[in-house]
Amino acid sequence: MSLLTVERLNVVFTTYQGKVKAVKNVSMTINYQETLALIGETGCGKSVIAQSILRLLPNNAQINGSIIFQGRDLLLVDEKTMASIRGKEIAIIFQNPSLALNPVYSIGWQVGEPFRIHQGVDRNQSIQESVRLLSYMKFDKPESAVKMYPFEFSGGMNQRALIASALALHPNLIIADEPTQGLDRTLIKQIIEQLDRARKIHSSSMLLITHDLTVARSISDWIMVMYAGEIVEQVPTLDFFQSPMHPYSQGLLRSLPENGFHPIPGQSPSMIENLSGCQFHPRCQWAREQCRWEKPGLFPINRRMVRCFLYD
Amino acid sequence: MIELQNIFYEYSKGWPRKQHQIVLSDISVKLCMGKTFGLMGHSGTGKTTLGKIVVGLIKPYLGKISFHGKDISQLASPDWLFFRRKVQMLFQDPQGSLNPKKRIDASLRDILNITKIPFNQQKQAIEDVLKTVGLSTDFLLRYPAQLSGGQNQRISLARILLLKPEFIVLDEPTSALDISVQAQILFLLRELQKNHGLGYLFISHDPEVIQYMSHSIGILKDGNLDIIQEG
Repeated sequence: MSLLTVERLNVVFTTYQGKVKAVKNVSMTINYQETLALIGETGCGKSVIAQSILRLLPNNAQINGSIIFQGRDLLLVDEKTMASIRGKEIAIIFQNPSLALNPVYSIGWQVGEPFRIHQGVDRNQSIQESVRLLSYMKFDKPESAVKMYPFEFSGGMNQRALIASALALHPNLIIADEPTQGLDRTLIKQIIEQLDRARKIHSSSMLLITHDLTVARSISDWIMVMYAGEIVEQVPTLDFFQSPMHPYSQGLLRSLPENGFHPIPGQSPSMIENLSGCQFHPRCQWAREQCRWEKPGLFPINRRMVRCFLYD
Repeated sequence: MIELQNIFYEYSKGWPRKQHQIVLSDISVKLCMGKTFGLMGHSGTGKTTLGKIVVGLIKPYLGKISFHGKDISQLASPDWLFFRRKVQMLFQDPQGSLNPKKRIDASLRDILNITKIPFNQQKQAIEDVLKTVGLSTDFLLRYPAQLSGGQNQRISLARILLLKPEFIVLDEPTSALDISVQAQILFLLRELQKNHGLGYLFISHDPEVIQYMSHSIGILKDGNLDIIQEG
């Protein structure tokens, strides 16, 4: 059963250089208690999808389509309802922990914020809740950690504090936007394990946005590959790593260390210019005449969807 | 060749009573041209500090650094400038290493003006270096914020290559980049080494990247350097 359904989502930013088409006709479904990993290069529109779900986009963004969360279209509900959903039903973990935390408030105050806003508890009680959450995230001394400030913590500790805050009210959907960017390998493993454990205990679903394929492999059920604002492949995780079908997915896997760092030639297209046909055709070794002029649709193959004429 | 002999370095922090923390103690290593020395270690072990010492951005507390047999602390002004040109550093954050208010063209021309390349030869030099790093001339009129991380990293590399360096310290050049872009940059660095005989000090905390890039590998831990692979 689906918890969140996104249909034909289009996001266009108006900038002084022109219209940036960041998300083009994206449809996706996240089922209860499942993790969907959204992977792709920086700037391909992954984070824009996350921000559209929570309606956190700036004023110069035009959004079209529908985002149905538990029967409500999030693009149509009023701001008051949206505020009650943020943090309580859908929580987000931002990509840069040191920037996402406010430097002038203590960790305890910030981790306990969801309790004060959504449950109306007082300051002391919210700090006590923070202690409980931090000990749950395996902080050594949670009682002293709540009194500390973000600059006194390392990147990994800040990230764990953010995760604790996001999980505070057992949200139905957790959006993790690059939760491991800029962290050491050993820390990445630790954080991902804690995040997945917490998600399973609260039976939440997760939208994991990452460009780290090892992270996606370790905790996701489904993988959605994005390229230049479009979904190019949607596939169960195991099948993706065994037999990627879209040429871009194949290229991504070839660039993994264990496959010898073989790069995909060329650069991603600009989101401002209109590239005709398949967005990947200038970099694709299988590109044919049709790919230059005609836009491929998403072709269903068993449990997966692939946007490539090779599978028409 | 760059040779480091018995390098010590310490940071002092705290106020009013300063505490001294030794970051590098008795580091000796030879860095050869045309080869890559991979430097690993956890965050905060002094990898970047060692890199900065190699390019002469900071002076060690004790010890000697020699470039082609000459002690760099004894170099007179023209030789010091020559050393600084020939030994370059590529930083981790590609966006942060370019001036956000300058177009790419101006950033590249800065280097050519410093090295006194005549104006009528600058266009050709820029076209050549962009070709080497695999970018088109369309990027010249853009600002760093309009480029992706990988493209900015290529521009930073182009700025370095305009100085015709012999040795480059690469400080986690791909850790801020995607996996596919990382593969592109690593491939480019290896090609440059093959074609121009560059020497690299490759700093990273990713063992797979180090293994792929390096001829010899050292691990920095508690201020000491353990060389685990000689190449």
